[in-house]
Amino acid sequence: MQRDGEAGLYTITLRPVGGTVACGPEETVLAAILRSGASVMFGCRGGGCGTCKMRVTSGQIEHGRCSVAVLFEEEKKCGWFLSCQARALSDLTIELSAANRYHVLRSWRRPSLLDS
Amino acid sequence: MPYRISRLGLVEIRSLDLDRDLDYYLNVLGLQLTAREGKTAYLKGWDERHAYSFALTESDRAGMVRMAFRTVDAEDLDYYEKRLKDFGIRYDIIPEDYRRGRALRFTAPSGHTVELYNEMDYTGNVLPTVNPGPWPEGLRGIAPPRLDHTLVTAPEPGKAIEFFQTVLEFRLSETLVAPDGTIIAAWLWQRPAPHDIAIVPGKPGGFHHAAFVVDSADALFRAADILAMHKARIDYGPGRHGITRGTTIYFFDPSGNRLETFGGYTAYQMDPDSRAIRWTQDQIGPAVFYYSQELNETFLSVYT
Repeated sequence: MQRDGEAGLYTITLRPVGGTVACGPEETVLAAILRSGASVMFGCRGGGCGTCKMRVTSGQIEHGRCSVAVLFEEEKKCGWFLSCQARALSDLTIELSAANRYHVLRSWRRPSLLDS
Repeated sequence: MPYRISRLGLVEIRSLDLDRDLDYYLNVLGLQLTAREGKTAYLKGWDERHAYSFALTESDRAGMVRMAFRTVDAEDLDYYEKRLKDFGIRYDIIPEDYRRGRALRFTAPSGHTVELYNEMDYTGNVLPTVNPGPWPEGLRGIAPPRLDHTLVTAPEPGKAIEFFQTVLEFRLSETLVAPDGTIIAAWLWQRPAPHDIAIVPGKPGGFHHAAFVVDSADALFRAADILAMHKARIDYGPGRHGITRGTTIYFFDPSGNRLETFGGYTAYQMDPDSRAIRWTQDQIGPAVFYYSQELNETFLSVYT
C-alpha cells in the first residue's frame, strides 16, 4: 500500500475536496493535513473534545487514545476517528464532514514564494 | 452581606494518560506535586497554603470531575448546609477526602458536581514562614503561584447562574446579555477578584477551562515561550479579555482539557459595593478577545 519511491509515506485522499496529502507513519492524520498547507477544523489536539472527527472510507488507521465521551465504539465501527490522534496504517480515503471546513491556504502556497 | 467562600479550592479533571499528563503538569505548567494516590495526582501552585488545589484522575475521557469551594470559616459550611436544605437542594455529606475534612457535595443545575468544604491540611507554601524570600528558586515550567478560577458550560446558563447567585451567594461581576435582556453568560465572585467561576452556554457538565495566575507581563510572555518551546497546544494568546481586563493565554493539556494563564494583575479588585458590568451580545468579540475583537473558531465550540 506504500507509494513507490517514498518509503514510509501513505497517501491520504480527502473527499469531497479530492486533494491528496502525504502522511508519514509517525504523524497523525491531522498533522499531515496541516503540514500540507491545508486547514481543517480542529480543537484540543488531545483526543478530548472531538472537534477534528473524520470518517475513513477505505484504508486502515490506528485510533490512538481518544475520549469515549466524544468517539463512541459504534462510531469507530462506522469508520469515524479523531484525526488529531489517529495514524495511517495504509493509504486512506477520508470523508470530511461539513464541520471540518477544509481550505487550502493558497496565498502562501505559490511556487514563486516557496522557491525564492 | 459578608462573603463566605474564600476561594475556588479544587478543580479535579480527567486525564486520558496520567503518567504522560502528570509530566506535563509538573514540567510544562509547573505545578507542585503533593502526592499521587492510585489513579489520582494531587497538585498545587507554589504559593498555595493548603495541601492541594488541583487533581488529575485517569479516565477514559477528558473533562471535569468536580469543583470545590473553600469556605472562609468552619461555621460557613453549616450556614451553607442550612441554605441547601432551605432551597431543597439534595446534597451528600462527604465525611473526608484526601487530606480534607467534611464536605457538602451536590449537583448544580449546570450538571457539575460542586463541593463546599472548610478543612484541608495547611501545609504552607514552598517558602519558609519566617523571614521568607519573595519567591522560590528552582521552579520548573510556567510555575503559576495559584489556581484562580474555572469556566464551565451549562445548557441553561440562566438557571445555573441563578443557583450560584441565590443559593451560594456569589455576586455578578460581569454579564453577557442578549438583546431581550436575557443573561447568556456570567462571571461570578466571592473573593474580591473579578471571578471565581464563570458560566457560559454549552453541554451539561462541560469544562471550558481552569485558570492559573500569572502575575506580570513578563510572566505572561515567559509562559507563552515555555508552551511553544514544549510544542504545547496554544489555543489563543497571549492576549487580553475585555471581560475582567485580565491577560490570557488559552492552551490545552495533552488530554485536551483547556487551561489558562490568567493575568489578574491587569484586572480590577471587587469591592462589596461593586455592581455588575454588562456586555451586549453584539460585542462578544472584544468582550472575550479584546485585541482581535472577534472570537476564534474554538472558543465557543471546543471544550471537554
